[in-house]
Amino acid sequence: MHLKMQKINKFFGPVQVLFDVDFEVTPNEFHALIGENGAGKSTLVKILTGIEQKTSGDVFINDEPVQFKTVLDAERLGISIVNQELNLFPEMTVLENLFICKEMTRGVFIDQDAQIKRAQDVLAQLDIHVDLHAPVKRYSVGVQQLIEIAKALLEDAQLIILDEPTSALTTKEITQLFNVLKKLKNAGKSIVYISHRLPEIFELCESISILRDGKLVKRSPLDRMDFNGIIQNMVGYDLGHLFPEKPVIAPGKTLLEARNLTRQNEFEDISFSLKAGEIIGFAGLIGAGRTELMNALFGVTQFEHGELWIDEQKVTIKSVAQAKRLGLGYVTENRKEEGLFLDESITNNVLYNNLKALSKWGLVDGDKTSELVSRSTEEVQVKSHSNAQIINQLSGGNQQKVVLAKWLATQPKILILDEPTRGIDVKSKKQIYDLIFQLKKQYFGVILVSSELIELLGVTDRIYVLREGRLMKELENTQIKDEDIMVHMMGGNTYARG
Amino acid sequence: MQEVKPPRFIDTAFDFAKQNIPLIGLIMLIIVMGILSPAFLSRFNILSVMRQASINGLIAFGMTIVIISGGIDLSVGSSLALSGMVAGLLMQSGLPSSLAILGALASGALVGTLIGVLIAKGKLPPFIATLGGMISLRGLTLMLSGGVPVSRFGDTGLIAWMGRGYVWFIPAPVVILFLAFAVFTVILKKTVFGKHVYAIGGNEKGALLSGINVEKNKIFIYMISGLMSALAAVILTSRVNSAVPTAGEMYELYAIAAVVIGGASLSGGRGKASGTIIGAFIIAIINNGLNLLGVSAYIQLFVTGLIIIIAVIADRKK
Repeated sequence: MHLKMQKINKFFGPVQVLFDVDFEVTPNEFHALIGENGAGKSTLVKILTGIEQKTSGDVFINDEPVQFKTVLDAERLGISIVNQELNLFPEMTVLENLFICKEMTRGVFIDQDAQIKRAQDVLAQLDIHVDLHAPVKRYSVGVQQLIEIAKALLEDAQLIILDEPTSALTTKEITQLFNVLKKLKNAGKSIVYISHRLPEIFELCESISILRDGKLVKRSPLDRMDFNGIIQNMVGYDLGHLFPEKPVIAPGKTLLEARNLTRQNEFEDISFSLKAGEIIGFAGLIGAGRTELMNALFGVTQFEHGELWIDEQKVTIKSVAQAKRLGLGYVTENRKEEGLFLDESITNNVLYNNLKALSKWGLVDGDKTSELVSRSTEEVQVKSHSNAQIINQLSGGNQQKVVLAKWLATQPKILILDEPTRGIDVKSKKQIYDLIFQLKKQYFGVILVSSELIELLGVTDRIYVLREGRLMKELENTQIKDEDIMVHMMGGNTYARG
Repeated sequence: MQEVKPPRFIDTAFDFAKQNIPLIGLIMLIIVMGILSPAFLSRFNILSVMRQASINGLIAFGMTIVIISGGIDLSVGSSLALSGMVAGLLMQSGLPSSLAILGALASGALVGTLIGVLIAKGKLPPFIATLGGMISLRGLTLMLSGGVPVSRFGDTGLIAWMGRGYVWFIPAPVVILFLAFAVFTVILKKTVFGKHVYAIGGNEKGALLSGINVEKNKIFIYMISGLMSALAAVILTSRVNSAVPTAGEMYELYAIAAVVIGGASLSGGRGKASGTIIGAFIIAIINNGLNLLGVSAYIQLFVTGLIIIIAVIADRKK
């Protein structure tokens, strides 16, 4: 299949997320699509698979203009996607999953024998061995992914999009996946391969498109690109404007020291330290174990080996309540799901996090509450009519400030911020950076987890890079180049070509 | 890759047991009751238990589809009362019983369809839509009947047979129950519609992205549930030879209990017709057995509740 997308624009309301994007996949080409989070990859893919509609632009398949309205339209044209979140039905059998909505029937009944025969054909072709009658949930994510690929072939897909297919796979499963993909190559299929892992891209693909901020910045055959070239195109930005001047202060005493923290299947042998007045950053891709590590620090889960010292005391944190008592605060990754009560007022959101301090004999002290709430919301400059305003009516940036306020109200010594600026506008971002620097001046210890390199570089004193649950590198943030971090996140430059 | 090992007998047996906890529970219950009360295993009593299970069982088949799809239907008890009253009033007005039965079935299907539309198109949570249905349909039934039962439809015609007739020595409701069992087994196992019900309950977003018409299927699902309550209504009306406006109270809960005891998951995607009929039998046997043993009705209720909780815990363990 020859796919050509021309001058694709996409608006969500007033916000433009794709700008005149051209995207082309030639027949039997394995094409990589990369970009940082929010660069527009997933929007482009959603347009291509009929989940979203483009605002303007043209799509051609084999030089014929085509229209997508639904997922079924895309499938009919021969385009299938294997998603990061798999679209399988865990309780149903492999066979049922393969044929869902494409059932082969005889009269009103499903023709099971015919389905089995068809399925066996395709599975044998890909050399996948599964029990057709076993529920899908019995198989690992890797096998489930192969089942999705088989499903795409049953629909006679000519172009298959793989969205971060290896992010949850073991090394062995990756090998197996690649074997299957090589069979697809021989069968004349085209592939769009979305991945953060550059070595894989060099192994599989012939060409690459790089998106940045909703624009196509580069399309090139891969043999003319190298590792650093790709990363430069991906992150190419100006560090200057977004960040205030970093305050220079001498760090105080050590607030937290982690030695060899390990939790099975999540992170391994992690050591780091945090002094008062320091901001340390954790870099890594999704699934690198950053959030898992933070959860263990905050008592949501427990680490199994290693030692944690807080204020020069060895501690075992068994619960969130204990972590709070020890002076930790945790601004979680998903403010809407974990961070806030969306239908409640600002006051209540701050109150619920400080019930112990604000109540006596089980009764809430109203005066004390409004005083603390006012003080903490002013500190972070929440913009609202009053503290009685419902969280849902606030902008994303202001919601995030409320999360910060409710934690500052607990008077922590150490604040963990997990993706604190995700999905908020630039102005609020700036205010949050200002606030982080203020905390630094007040000798808080701040741990910043972020997927945005620019943020880590602009804010932190020291960056720890995690990959697959292990600490790959500790970098003093003085003379780091962005590419350095990217290289460590993506698996070293052993695959780079010159 | 998964290697296929030759199964050992003990593994196979253990596997079977794990997959069929409700069936094993039923067999154990029969053995225990048989030992405690000799009358329990008499032919008369067995048929009587099955007849008791039939009304709940029929409603529960509809409920099974609803629950597999990830929904819930609290309106079935009230819908039963309404359909029974429709049948009663039609017969009172002089219509032949077969037409009255058709009217009742039509009213059940219509009510189910309306509730399905509220859920599928109106995007109401099934709990709310059917709770509203449950209360307002009860009110509607009381309005239609003036709060008074309609009774004495005679001993002839289809209406008399449905609840009180026999096929050879088997009570008609039991025959209807097993016919419905066969139909629902085939629907869930062999038809495209059945597969889509599982898919919607297992992963609604996935179902949508696979191209399944989720809205249409949901409407159909609740229509079937309404239809099954209407069928149960006809049998109940015939059994007691009257249409009672307060009939069917708490039936929704017993139907849900039968489905859940049968191994279905309230979060959707899992359930079987065979599990549901076993669930209905278990509930009927507990009531019947405790009756035979002379245990008070209050304790029966208490025990039934406990069994539901135990069944769900046992099922989760696997």
